[in-house]
Amino acid sequence: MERLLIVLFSVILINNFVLARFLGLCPFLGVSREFKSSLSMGAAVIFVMTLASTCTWFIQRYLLIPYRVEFLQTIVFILVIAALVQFVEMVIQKVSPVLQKALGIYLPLITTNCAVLGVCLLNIREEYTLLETIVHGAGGGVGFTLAILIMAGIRERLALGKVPSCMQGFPISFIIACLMALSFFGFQGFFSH
Amino acid sequence: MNAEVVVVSLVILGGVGLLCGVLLAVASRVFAVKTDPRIEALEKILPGGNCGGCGFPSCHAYAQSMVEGSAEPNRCVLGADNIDDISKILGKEVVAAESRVAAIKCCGGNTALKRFDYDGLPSCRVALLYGGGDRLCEQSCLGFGDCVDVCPFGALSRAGRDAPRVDRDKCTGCGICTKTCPKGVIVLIPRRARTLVACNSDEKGKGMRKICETGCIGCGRCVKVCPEDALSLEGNRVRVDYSRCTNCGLCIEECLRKTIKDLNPSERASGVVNQ
Repeated sequence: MERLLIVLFSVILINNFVLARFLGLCPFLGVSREFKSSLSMGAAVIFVMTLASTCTWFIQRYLLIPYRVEFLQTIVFILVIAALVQFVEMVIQKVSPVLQKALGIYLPLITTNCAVLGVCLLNIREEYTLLETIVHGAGGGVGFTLAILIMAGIRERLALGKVPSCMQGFPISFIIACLMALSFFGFQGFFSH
Repeated sequence: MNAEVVVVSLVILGGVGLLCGVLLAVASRVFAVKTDPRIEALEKILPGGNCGGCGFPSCHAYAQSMVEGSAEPNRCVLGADNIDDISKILGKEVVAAESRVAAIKCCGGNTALKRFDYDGLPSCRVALLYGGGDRLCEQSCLGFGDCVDVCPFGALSRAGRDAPRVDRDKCTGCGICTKTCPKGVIVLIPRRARTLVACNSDEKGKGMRKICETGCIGCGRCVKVCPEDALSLEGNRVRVDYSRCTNCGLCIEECLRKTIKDLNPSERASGVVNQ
């Protein structure tokens, strides 16, 4: 239980996927213009990351390791995640139109995102158990959501501020992202004492 | 190189790919969502601008609601020309709605007196944060043109700090500008209407003379001259009831301060504006 909490805490704050590992930067900057769409994006990422983590763990355990073809990890994972998300989207469309409206276009957008692949590869590298894998996947999504929501909040206020014309748009966003990453850097070494 | 490894990885990767492909193919059959072909047909007629004037976020959502029957089929501001096609697809009579245009109820513009010199961002909503803007008149148009930026049809254009101009040919009456204006100066009026009381203020006559050279002073001359009782004084604001107005234009001539504007001189006395 304690280990699970540590995994969760570290993936959300210490090793935040966006701000510490610098994965998933395109949706982080692309969809953070409005708070509402960031929230939908975050929900979709939590969903896909949890799903992909679980699924790839089984593939690694029962397909790649027994046949000693671990080097196929990357390509098999991408293939499986893409197909899985596509499949889940079809099911959602049929079963729950409400959920489909909420996650909407964001599901397919993040199918082949590096953060999603990253979380799966990290699960393997850290040799997590199934339960830890699920927690790590969901926590990674929560961490992403946290980062993108903070970013969206800042950018919404920034829209009313006076930004020099050469810095408007993405340049100032990158600087903000950088400052956020620096402040999250403060969480490093949280568990060493 | 071990030949066995090559074969195994080929089989595994190919197998996984094949499995995924079969799974998706089956799923697309099993989970196929049937869509009404009428939705697609209606979407082709709708302008596709996703302006939101009908109250739905997109043309697709509106078409969907029309087919379901939960939305009136005459809510699209651009659909008026195609109303016959829409009723053909839906199989029921559709009556075209009154076409409306945006009008800005402020003629103060550059002549409105100022409280201070504003040097911030050229945006009405930002200027509003500084004590309600730099104009003495609290209900006046700020003239920075936030409405110009949101108009999806390019019907508004800036005119210095005067109230933006409305291009009546381009305006569809979607009403996005009315929701954007922080002062609520923009209203939708019937397209055929001539009369516009171009003042949004409820200031009394004496106070009005001090803050604006052209604003309505609530003298009531227009109310008295109107033969149809279409105008009325509500507080110090003049309200026009377009269902009574006949476009005779007497109030326009009567107005001392030229606050009542003639938007549509060609529609001279053409009968009741809004049935």
